[in-house]
Amino acid sequence: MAQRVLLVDDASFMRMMLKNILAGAGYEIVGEAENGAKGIELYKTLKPDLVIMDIIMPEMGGIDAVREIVKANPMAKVLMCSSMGQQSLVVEAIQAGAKDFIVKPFQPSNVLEAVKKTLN
Amino acid sequence: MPSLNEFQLDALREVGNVGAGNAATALSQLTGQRIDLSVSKVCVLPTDAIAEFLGGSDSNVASVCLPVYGDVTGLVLVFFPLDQINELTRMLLPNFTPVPGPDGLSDIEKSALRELGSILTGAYLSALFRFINIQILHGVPELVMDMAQAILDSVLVELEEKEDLAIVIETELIAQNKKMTSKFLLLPEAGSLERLFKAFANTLGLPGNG
Repeated sequence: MAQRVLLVDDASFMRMMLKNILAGAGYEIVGEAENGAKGIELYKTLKPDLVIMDIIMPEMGGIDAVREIVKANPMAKVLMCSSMGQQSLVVEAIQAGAKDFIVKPFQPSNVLEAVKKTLN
Repeated sequence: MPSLNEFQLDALREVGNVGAGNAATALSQLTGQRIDLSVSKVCVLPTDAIAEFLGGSDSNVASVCLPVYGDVTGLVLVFFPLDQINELTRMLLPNFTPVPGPDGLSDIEKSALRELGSILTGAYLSALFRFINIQILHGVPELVMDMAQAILDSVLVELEEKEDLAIVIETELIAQNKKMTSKFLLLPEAGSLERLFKAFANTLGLPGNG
């Protein structure tokens, strides 16, 4: 059965790119959210195998959302997306419970490698 | 009014070049095609001269606006001439047939333009961090399309105590033999520009010592 992924990013453009990369490699995109709060909600209802989470989003950012998701399920697997120059935020996200990170813009091979590593 | 000497401006040009190099790599990866970026101008401009620099008060532009925070607070604006927007969105979404909204752009194209502004900003800010160890993070990007002066008026009121100067980096993007322009502006809040200039001075020392 395909592994189920939830995408949380305020940029529909970035979600589309991730969707293309992941769907092409056989993953199932079970949901999409445009901010951290909706991401938490969808995580709880959809129970995906993996969450790919942007850091900077309106309303609730990715770091707070990771903290909440890991609180709800300490085994949750969350992969962060950071932009160039956000190293300090990546460290914070890992401390909040994220497993790994990928840097925008995405290279398909890097995304798939990080997804595989996080899921295993 | 704080300013940069020629030597420090040279360093800022180098920040621009490194940032443009980072952005070119990022955009080439994003689009799967070669995109070259070169810095055509770096300067510090009084805020009342910005509209002229953008092509005049009534020139039509698209702007991605991002709040910045950290060692420097303020706003970053990345401007694109409105007549180049279709080229830019085609560059970002080569295999996509968009359904335009009332303002001529589809949601996904607007999202792509916001990401372009975000990538350029991240590239320049991380170059700044590497050079002068100033950490600036950016927030959520917003896209506005209007006349240059109208955009400036609406964003300048958002800055509580702005400086009267902006740091400007003009970049040319070349993709598939088409040339496009972007203008990156950092509008710092009071006190931030001095911190920025001090960091340049500390890193570089006196002219000739660097």
